Amino acid sequence: MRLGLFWVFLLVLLLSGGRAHSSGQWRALSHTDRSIELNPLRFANRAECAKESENPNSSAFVLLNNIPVARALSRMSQAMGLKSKEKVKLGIDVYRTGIIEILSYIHKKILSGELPILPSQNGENSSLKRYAEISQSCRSDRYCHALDRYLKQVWQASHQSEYRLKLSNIDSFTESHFLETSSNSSSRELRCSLVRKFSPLQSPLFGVEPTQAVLTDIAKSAMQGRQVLGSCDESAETTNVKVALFQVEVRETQLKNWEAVGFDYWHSLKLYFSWAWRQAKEVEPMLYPFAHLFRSVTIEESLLLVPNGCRSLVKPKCTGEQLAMNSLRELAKKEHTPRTLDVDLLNYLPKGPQAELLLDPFTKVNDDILDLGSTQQASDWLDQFYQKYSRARGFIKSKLIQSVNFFNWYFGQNLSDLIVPDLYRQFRQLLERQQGLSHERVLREKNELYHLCAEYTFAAHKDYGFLRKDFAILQKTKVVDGILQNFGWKSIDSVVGEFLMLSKKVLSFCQGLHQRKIWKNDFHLDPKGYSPWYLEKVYERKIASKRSSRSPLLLTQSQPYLSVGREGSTGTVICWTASDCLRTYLQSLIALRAASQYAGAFWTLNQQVSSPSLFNPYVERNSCRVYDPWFKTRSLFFNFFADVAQAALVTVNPGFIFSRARLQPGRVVSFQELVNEGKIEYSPVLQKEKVAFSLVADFGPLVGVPCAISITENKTGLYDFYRFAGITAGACVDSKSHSLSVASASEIGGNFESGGAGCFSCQINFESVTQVVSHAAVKGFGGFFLVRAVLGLFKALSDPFNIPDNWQVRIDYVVETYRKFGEIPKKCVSPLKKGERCLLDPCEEVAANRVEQDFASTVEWIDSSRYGKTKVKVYEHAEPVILNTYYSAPSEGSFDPDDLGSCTTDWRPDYPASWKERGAI
Amino acid sequence: MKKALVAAFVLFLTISPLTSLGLGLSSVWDVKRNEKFLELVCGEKDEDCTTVCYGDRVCKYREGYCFNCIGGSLVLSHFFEGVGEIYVNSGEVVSSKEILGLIQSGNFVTITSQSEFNLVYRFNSRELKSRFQKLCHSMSSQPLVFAEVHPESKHIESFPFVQCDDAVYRLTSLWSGAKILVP
Repeated sequence: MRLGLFWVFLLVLLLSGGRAHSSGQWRALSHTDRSIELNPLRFANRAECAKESENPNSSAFVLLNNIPVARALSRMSQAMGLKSKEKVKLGIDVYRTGIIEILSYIHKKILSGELPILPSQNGENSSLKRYAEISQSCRSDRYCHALDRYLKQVWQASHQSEYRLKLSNIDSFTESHFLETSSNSSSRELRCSLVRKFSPLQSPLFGVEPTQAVLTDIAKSAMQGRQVLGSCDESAETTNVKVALFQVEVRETQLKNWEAVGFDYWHSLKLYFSWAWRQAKEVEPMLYPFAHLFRSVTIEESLLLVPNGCRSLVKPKCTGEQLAMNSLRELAKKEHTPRTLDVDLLNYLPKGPQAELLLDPFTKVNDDILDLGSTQQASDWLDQFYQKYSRARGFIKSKLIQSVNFFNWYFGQNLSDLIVPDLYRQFRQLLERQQGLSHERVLREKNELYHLCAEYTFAAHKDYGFLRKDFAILQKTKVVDGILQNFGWKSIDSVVGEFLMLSKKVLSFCQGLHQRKIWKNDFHLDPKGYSPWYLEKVYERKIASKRSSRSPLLLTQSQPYLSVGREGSTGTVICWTASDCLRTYLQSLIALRAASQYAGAFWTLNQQVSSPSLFNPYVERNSCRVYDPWFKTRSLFFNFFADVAQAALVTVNPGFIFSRARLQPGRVVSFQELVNEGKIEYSPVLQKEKVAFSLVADFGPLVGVPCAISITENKTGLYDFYRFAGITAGACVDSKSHSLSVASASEIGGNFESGGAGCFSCQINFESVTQVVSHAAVKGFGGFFLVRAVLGLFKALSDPFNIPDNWQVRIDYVVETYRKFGEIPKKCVSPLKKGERCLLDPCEEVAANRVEQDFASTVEWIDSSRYGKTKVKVYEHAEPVILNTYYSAPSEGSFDPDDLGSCTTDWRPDYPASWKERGAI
Repeated sequence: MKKALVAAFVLFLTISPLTSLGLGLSSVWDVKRNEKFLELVCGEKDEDCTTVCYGDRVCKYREGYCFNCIGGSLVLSHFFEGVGEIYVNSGEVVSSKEILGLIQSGNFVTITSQSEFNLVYRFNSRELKSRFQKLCHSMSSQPLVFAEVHPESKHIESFPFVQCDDAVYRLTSLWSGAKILVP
């Protein structure tokens, strides 16, 4: 009998398990697992990720390379005569924890309003007058001493009493420069975790949408706690000595206007950090006993702050520096190992970081693009990354040093006036009589001459020299001058200027040669004598250059043309002959060009740590207008409109150009592509080439936004033509040039009104587009086109990649659901991915929300009886609280199986005395 | 090992040569605080030196820090790769006043083949040692190179001197001194 009762009890217990009202069935959390707190996970598809890149991230990874410091510590220990590695180990631990401590210290000072935030964008309307002046006066290629002095003043004032008053004497600081945060001191802490393994807690990097399986994995990972996320003060010895990966987070919910101040926050944090690292006395205890030594560390090159997800830490701009910085993403991919690194930046003639955008504009995102999942430990991935980073950096450094050496030798000897006459002299015998020259010698000299002329023509010919434009750009960039300051370096302007002058003379020399006579039929060209850069470009690396090893063969005299060394010795040869020197000049300039394209990724001159967006390749695709996150949305409405319009059009207006493109699923088509693919209809009165040209040229800012364009003599009557609600367009033509200037939808107004300069604008109002359907229906535009339009709209809206879509998941809610049910019920997937709580019981949810709102507590279990009382137990208190809850069943006639009814609770719950003592929020 | 830790200072350069100026310069490490000092031993009757030494004959100056010297500094990489070949002893002996002026300003760091800033070669490697030795006439000496740093930012601005056994010499760059042989 007793046994029978037991089985009945067990059966009841099991049957009630699905609803789990009993407190004992909630899975418990250990103390350490409860301490893991993370910001909500933001999931995004391609278009959303591109769009999100314009917003500040509140979560970042700190990528730390210990190797340079470890080497310095090791050398110092050896210099001290210490054989043990104790000092190195201790030093690395201090270094790691010190960096996090300093970041946390500055973060806390910013969030407590002691340190002001400094604007990341400095325009004319900057609110900080002096800071704006300093930022604008500082050249990007020079170290900014004025900024150092300013930061010093601000820092020192912030450590004094009445700091607000003192700060206002330094610059025009107002309340808006101090972040408003809650008074709760724990909320001002910078959250920090050591990333041991990449796990579902970083799942937005691995997948687009949080499915039931993903949510389950998130819950399990969060409950594993410290196995995946460690403590930031752990010793390097227990993890990885060479590198460290941390995840730091700002409690976004504590900042009312994070979206507005986020970029300024990161900008300020990084500026203060770099300054304090070297100059602030307050951080010395955090780096003791290595503070003095560590001040010499190039902290900006050993540390990267990388946004965790689609959002950015720096406001994206389509600049060379940001493109170069984001190209580090290539180094983070598994396909490149440190030994077999094959990336553009290692080429003699790299295409540049912008080329990748055009080659692969619609690349993957949020699909573990950096192969994080392929390594056991997160530090293994980072270790590989920094090995590749060091190799790439070393390669560029070597190029820079070789080039700067050559140019310094060249200019030091004032070869400018000598070298071309010496070139004529070098080949005089070959060109005039060849008597006394062996056959082998003649062949060698002819080859050298051929190589010289080919290389200079290829690079610098005034019409088709393919590097001429690049050199002109190089001449204007300041990056090389910035890196090479204190090197006795002339300037990139004078180095390129000299080349342009030299190339003119060399090309004139080459063009003056009697080519048929010199290189007759019996001439055998040896391609191995070309410079490596030429072979890479022209022969596609199929032949290896032997130019350097053949150089001594060129020697016609007993001494090389230019060498360096002590008196009486040949020393180091700089170049063997005048032609060799000229070719080395070109080669060195090409090396500088290559280095300058990616230098921004390895040498930061901004006096702050860099923040490449490693996980979001759409940052630069969006900022450079290669990918428009709104394109598909716009274009699908446009296509919709186009079909409706086609149904309506009865006559073709002269000069009317209309896009008839159909987008392929999963593919974003830019306007330029449409033009290139000939999918633009054009009026017979206009020449096709001319139209295509003007469209490509004038639509530069609008790439990716096809519009119907009407070119008319004036703008009268356009609205009559485009009569559909929600879509307007207007155009006017400059009476002189007939060129179109285009304004984007957001810029409509000014251009449209000003009739003088020729204008075009288009605007699609998505919100009212539905009116088009009703309008069309009323007017009786039926038939095929209208059906196709509606069908197309429906299909296009379900594009999983190119219609912005996002989800937000609160890890604590996912864990809560998992703890209650032992799984993530299917019904909970939808609310959880909206960032909502899901306990499948309205009274439990309302009670949990209420307690969470009043106390910063973690729910241990909840028991809702539905008879007016709901018991909530939180970890922080021994006794549960009982709240009065008022349940309302679903309304009669509700057929929604997911409708569980609703519930309310007391306006002022009666919390136990012990709870009140701990204090409500 | 223990002995080394107990001792407050360890002589980095065991030789503290008295130059022809009568001035002895050597680098020493504070093992506890991990800071490097330049030790000055003034020659007899060298009043300039004793003034710098606050009236004493022997004193220590803490070396300043050096901006971006532990990392990928191009200037330092170039120096370590070119020391003895591009950066050479000019043969000009530097006055003690000039040296003391730099020391007193505190805007300097010293560099040897055992430098903590050398991330290019192994510690005191044979190759680096031999390059440094090319800076002095006597191959047995441990040349001590002075790098002058910017008073505010602490960037290396130049490598003005090298101390050899017998004197402190001006260091120069051979960039402007290459031999040219016109064919």
